[in-house]
Amino acid sequence: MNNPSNEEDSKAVKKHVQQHVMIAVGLALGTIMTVWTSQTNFGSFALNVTITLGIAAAQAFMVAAFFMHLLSEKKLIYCFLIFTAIFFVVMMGITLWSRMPENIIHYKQYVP
Amino acid sequence: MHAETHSHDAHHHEEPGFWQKCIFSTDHKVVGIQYAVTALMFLFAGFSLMLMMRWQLAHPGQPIPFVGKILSHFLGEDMASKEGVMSPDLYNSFGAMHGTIMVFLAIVPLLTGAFGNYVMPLQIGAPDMAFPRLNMMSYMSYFFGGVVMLASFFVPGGAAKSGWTSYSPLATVNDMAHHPNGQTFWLIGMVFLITSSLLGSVNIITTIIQLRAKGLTWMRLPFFVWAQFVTAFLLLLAFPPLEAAGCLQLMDNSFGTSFFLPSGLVISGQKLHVAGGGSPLLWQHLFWFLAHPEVYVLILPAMGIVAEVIANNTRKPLWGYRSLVYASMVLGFLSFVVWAHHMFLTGMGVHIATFFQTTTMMISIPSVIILTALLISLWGGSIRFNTPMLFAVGFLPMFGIGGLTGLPLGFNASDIQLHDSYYVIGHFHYVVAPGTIFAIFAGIYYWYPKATGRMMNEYWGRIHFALSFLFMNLIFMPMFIQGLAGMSRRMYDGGLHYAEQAGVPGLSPFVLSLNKVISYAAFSLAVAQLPFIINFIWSIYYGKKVTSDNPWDATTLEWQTPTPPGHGNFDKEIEVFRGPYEYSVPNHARNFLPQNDPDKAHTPTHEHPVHG
Amino acid sequence: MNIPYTVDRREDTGLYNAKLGVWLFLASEVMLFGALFSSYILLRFGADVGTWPRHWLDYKLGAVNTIILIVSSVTNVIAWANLKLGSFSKYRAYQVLTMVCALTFLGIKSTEYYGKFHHFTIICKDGRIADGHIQKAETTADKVVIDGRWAPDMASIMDPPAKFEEQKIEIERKEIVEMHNYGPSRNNFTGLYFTLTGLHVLHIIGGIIVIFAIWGPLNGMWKTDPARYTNRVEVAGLFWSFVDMVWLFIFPTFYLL
Repeated sequence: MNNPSNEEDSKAVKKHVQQHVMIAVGLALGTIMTVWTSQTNFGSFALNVTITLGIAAAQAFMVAAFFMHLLSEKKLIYCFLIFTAIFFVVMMGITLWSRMPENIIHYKQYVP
Repeated sequence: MHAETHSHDAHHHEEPGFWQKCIFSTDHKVVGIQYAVTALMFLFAGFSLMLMMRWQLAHPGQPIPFVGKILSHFLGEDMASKEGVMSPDLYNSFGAMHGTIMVFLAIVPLLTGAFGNYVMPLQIGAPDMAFPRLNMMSYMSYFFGGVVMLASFFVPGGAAKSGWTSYSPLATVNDMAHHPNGQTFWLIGMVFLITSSLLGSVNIITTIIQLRAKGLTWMRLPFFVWAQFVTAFLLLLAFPPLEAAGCLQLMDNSFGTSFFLPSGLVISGQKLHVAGGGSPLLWQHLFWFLAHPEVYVLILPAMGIVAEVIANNTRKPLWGYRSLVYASMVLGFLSFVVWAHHMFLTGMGVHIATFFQTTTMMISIPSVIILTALLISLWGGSIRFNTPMLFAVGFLPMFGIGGLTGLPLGFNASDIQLHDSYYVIGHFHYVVAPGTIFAIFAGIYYWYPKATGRMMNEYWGRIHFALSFLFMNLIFMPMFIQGLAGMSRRMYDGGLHYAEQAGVPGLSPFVLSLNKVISYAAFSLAVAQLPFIINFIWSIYYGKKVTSDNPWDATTLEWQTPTPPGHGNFDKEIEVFRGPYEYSVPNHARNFLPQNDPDKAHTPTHEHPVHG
Repeated sequence: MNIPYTVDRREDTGLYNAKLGVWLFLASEVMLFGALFSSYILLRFGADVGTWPRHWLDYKLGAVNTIILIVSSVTNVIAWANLKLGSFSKYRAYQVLTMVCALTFLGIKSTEYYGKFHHFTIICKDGRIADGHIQKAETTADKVVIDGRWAPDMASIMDPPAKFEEQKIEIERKEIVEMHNYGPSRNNFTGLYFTLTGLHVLHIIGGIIVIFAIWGPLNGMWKTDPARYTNRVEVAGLFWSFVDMVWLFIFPTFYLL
C-alpha cells in the first residue's frame, strides 16, 4: 500500500487526512469543554469528576481509535488491550476497595 | 563448525569480529549464553551472601572464617568488625541483596533470558527473535542493572537493607543520612532490570505469535513455549506497577517527597521533616501487585523445562497437554488477583481478606493440575534416569512440598501465626530452590549438548543431583519446624533474643540448634555444586562429543538444527506436521517422531494430534 | 538471515512484528501510568481534609499545552499518511511541525517547573503567612524578597484565590520559621505532579529523539526499503499518540480537578 500510483488510493488517504484534522479540532474543543465543565458546579464533586474525566476518556478513545487507527486493526490487538484494561481496573479497583474505611480495621476498637 | 545459512540478500555478511560476535551480538543464542553466564555468576554471588549469613546464624557474633576480614577491609568496619564479625546492618544488607539478586538477577534472567532466548526460537522454527537488537539491549540493560546493584555494597551506608520487599517507611528512612544510599542504587538498579524484562517480554510474545514455522499451530507448541508465553505476559503487565512504585520511592528517597511516609513519623525521638500524608500500604499494594505474578514467573518456565525433559525421557507424550496449556493460562490470569495474601496482617477488613483468601485457594487448582499432569506423565513410561531426568523428577515432590506448605499461608487465620516466620522462608525456598533451580539444572544438562556439541559428564551429574537433593532438604525442612515454633525471619542473631529462659516461654534450644544443622547443610550444598561447576566448564573442552544433532532422540524442533546452531538456526525449510511429543508412535521403527518429519504414514490428517 | 514479517503482515494476525511489539509495549505503559494514577487516587482520597491543595496549577497554560500536543499528534499522523502517498518532502515538513510542537510543549513545561521551584510559602514567627515568587536580585543573606501576597490562613494557601493584588514583600530571614517552595517535597500533590509530568516529559523527550532519528540520520532507509521505513514512522507515531493520550488524562486530573 506504499507509493500508490493510482488516483483512488491517493483520494482515500487524503480523505483520511481530512478526517484526522476534523478529529483534532474536535479534541481541541473537547479540551476547552473540560476546562469549562471543571469551572461549573454540577452538584456533587463526584459528578464533576465523572463528567470531566468522561470527556477526557472520550478524547482518549478518539486518539486511540483514529490517530492510532485501532478501529481498523485486527482483533488481536483489541484482545491485548482489553486484557490490559481488565488488569488495570483490577489493580486500581481492589487497591481502592481495600482502602475504604469499612475495610480497614482500627485496632484501637479492640482494647479489652 | 558453524553451518552457514546462505541468504539470498544482496549483502553477504563478513565474519564479525570479537566485539560484534561475543559482546554486541544480536544472535539470540549468543544473547542467551550471555544471560546464562551472567545469571549463573549472580546465582553464585547470591548464594555466597547466604553462606555468610548462615555462618552468622549458626555462630552468632563469631568472626566469619576466611572472608570476615576481607569484608571488613572492603566494606568498612561499621559493616564488619576488624576481626570479621558481621554487624546486624551487614546481615540485613546481605539478606535484602540475597533476595534481590536471586530473584531479579539470577532466576528470572536464567529462565527467560537464558532458556527463553536460546531455546524458544529454536523450538518454534524461527531464525531468531523478532527484535534481535532489542534483545541485545535487554541484556545490556540487565547487565548494567546488575552492576548498579553490586555497586551498592560500596556506597556509604552499605547496600539496601530493608528486605528485597523494600517496605516504606523503613526503606526510605534507613541510611537517610547518606545521599545517595544503598536504597537509591537498589531503586535505580531495579529500573534497569525492569526495563530489561519489559523489552524481553515484548520480544518473546511477538516472536511466539509471529515467527512460528509453517504448520506450527498453537496446540502443537511444546509446553516450554507456552510457559514462556504466559510468563512474558506476566512480566509485561505486572512489572510496570513496580516501576511506578520504584519511581515514587526514589522520589521519597532522593527528593524529599512522602508518598509512602505517613504524617507524624518520629525517628529516634526526632520528628521527621517531611510533608507526610503518605501511605505505607500503597507501597505494599504496588510491590505485591508485581511480586506475586513474579513468583509465577519463577515457576512457570521451570515447569516448562521439566515438561520437556519428562516427555523426552519417558518416551511417551505428556499426559494432559491441553490441561497443561489451559492451566498455565488460568494460573497466569489468577496470579494477578491474589497479591494481598502477602498483606493479611496489615489490618485489612474481613471482606478483603476473604476475597484474597478465596482467590489464593483457587490458584492452587491450576498449579495442582500442572503438577499432576507431569506426575501422571511418568506412568507407563519407559523411563531413562539420566541426569536431566533425575533433576526433573526430583522437581516434582519438591514443588509439591513447596506448594502444599503454601496452603496454611494462604488461609488468613493460620497466616496470623506463620506470617514473616521461618515457615514462609521454608515454603518459598522449597518452590524456588529444590524447585526452580532443579529445573534449571535439568535444562542445563539437557540442552548443553545442543549448545556445545558435547555431553556433560553423567557420573558427576548424578553425584551433583544426589548431594543437592539431600542438602536442599536438610536446609529447608527444619525451617518449617522453626517457623511453627514462632521463629521470626530476618533476625541476625538467629532467634537468640527470643530464646526460652527460666519461666519465660520462647524458642527452645532444639529449635535454635536447628540453625546449625541448616547452616552446615548449606555449606555442604555449596561443596556439592563444585562437581557441577567443574563439569560445566570441563565438558566444554573435554566432554564426550555428540554423535548426532539429536543425542536425546527428541521430537521438538530445536534438535533439528546443526550442532551448535549457526546464524539463522536451521539449514532447511521447516514445516511442522504433528504435535510436540510424538514418542512411541505405534507401528513405527523409531520410538520418536520429530515434529517436522514429513513421514506421511504417521501424520494425523485432522487438526487434533493423535495423543494428548 | 531474514526475519519474516518485518515488513509484510502475517496472515493470521494481520500485523507486522514491530506493530505488535509497540502495542504490547503500550499495554505495559498503560499499567505504568495507571499505577501512578491509582496512587494519585489513593493518596488524594486518603488525605486529611484541608491537606490537598486545589488551583495550584495554571489551567490556561495546561490547556494550551494540551492543544499543542493534540496538534503534534495530528501532524505526526498526517506525516505518515504522506509517506504512504509517497511524498517524502511533505512527510519531512509535517514532522518538523510535530517536533516544533513537542519542543514548545517542553518549553511551556519548563517555565511551569521553574515557576514552581521559585514560588515560596513563608511562615513567619508571628504566625503570618506570605506566599509568592522569589525575587532573586533583591534577596540577600538577611532578607527574602517575594512578589506575592499575605495569606490570611493555610486554607487560603491550599485553595488560593484566582486573582489577587500582587505586592512586594520583604521578610527578614531571622523572622522565618519555615520556608518551602512548591517543588516535589512540598506535599503529595506536588510530588505526584512532578513525578507524573516528569515521567511524561521523559517520554516526550524519548519520542522526540526517536522521531528525529527516523526523520534525520536514519532516513536513508526511505531509498533502500521504503515500506519498512514507513512502518517505522507508523510505529513511532503510535508511541507518540499514546504519549498524547497520557497527557489528556494528566491535564484534567492535576490542572482542573
